[in-house]
Amino acid sequence: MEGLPNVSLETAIPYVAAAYIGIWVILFGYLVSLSGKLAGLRRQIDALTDAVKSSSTDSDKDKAKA
Amino acid sequence: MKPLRQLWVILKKDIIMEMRTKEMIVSMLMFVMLTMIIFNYAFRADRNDLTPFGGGLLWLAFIYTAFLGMNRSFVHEKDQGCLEGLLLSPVDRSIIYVAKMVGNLIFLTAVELLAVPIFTMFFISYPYYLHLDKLGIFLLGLGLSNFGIAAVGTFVATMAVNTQRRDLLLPILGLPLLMPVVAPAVMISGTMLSGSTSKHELELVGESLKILAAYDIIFFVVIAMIYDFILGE
Amino acid sequence: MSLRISALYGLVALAAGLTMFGLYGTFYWTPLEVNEIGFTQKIFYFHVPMAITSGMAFGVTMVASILFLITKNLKWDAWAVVGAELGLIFGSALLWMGIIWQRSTWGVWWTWDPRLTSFLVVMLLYGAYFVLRSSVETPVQRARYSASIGIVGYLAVLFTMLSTRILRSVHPVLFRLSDSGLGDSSMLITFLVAMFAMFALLAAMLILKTSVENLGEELDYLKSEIGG
Repeated sequence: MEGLPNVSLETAIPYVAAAYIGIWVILFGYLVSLSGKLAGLRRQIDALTDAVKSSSTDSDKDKAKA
Repeated sequence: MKPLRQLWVILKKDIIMEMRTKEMIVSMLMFVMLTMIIFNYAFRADRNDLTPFGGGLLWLAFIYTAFLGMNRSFVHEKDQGCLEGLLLSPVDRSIIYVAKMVGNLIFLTAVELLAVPIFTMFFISYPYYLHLDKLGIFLLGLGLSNFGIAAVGTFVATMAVNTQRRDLLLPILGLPLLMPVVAPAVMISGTMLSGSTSKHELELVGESLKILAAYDIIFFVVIAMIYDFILGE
Repeated sequence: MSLRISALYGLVALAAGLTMFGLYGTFYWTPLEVNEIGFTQKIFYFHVPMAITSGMAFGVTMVASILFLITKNLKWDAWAVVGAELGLIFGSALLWMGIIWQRSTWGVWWTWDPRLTSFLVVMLLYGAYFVLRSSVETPVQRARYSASIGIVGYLAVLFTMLSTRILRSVHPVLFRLSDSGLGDSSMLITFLVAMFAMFALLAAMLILKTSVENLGEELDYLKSEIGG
């Protein structure tokens, strides 16, 4: 612990603020980007599932015709 | 007795090939000397004495030349279809690992033993490490570090050669894995090169040797256990 | 899936609540440290928990890597990636706090302190883990390679910490619980709350990220269904 200078309150405040703001930007930015990715994936999957369903019912119809 | 024989056969193949072409040792040595020329520029070494930085500089050159050589050792095997042949043969995978590793260890050590005198001539004003009490520790440090470098480097090189990035991957992945070797290696070589008699530094050298030994044993055993998975079916 | 979603919401709420309380404790409840470093000591209430959390995330990678090599189930490969990514995220936040603190105290952006140095090595190692993953095409081979690095890498982390420790550290040890480095009980409680806040956040992110990985796989599967 030796050699740690006591930084005055006025000089310390911007640093502490920067430290805390920075970590929440990193952590919540990541969290938000993850939920965005999740929502995007879910949309794509829903669209694709619909497409698969409709194409499979189409082929069923084709079979029925034949 | 049989595994030892298999090991020897694979090892002998590598040694004979190297004796014929001398490709690896010569290019590794040239690389070390070229690095030393850059040291001279970096430190403007008109005083011919870089003793205080000796340990670090030595290992900077050695670690990269080790990567250079170990990459080569697998590119050969891969390109000439040797690896497939080895895998088809009824040899235990960990034997292949140990054989390749010992080969790399021998070549690396040979290059270093040639390079240290050159380095001394270029940059070290007085070779304290040649004193009998220092020489043993110096060589022990060299050997233990090389063992760790060969153990981890062979493992990473096996993977790297089977990927798209090949040569790129070995230093990127190998260097962080080998930092625990580089740090004590620099400590030992540096202290022996400078001939320091400080009690604290000599204690640190002792600690460094212990760390190297522990690293060598643990990594060698673990890698030999999981080597099977990276060679694949 | 629905259990997973409700667990996720629960954890996010828990993390948010604990974080709020932790921040309140940090800035209003705990006394201002006056003897040694002053106001910048406030950074450490979240700095140390973040270090532990990032270590845990890399630990997830190691455990999942072992499980993959034993079971050959690609599910564990997904967990291993998630652990490494979260370790890097928490690690970045940790490094950010550390760098700002150093700048405020010593006036430099970087010192080659052993702990800092070894953490930088760890970050680069797990960065290389992702380089390795992107250089292998077949999923099974990729999983095998990264699992072996997941295991050997964690060992290297332990050794890096150990070997850099042989040099003397200038990193302050502020929370020695054994000799009650946290003088005031409010300090200890705030510290623990911040730690559990980070744990909850890690757990929430693990669930969220594994869901993303799973959905991504599902999507690839659906695409191949349609293509074929």
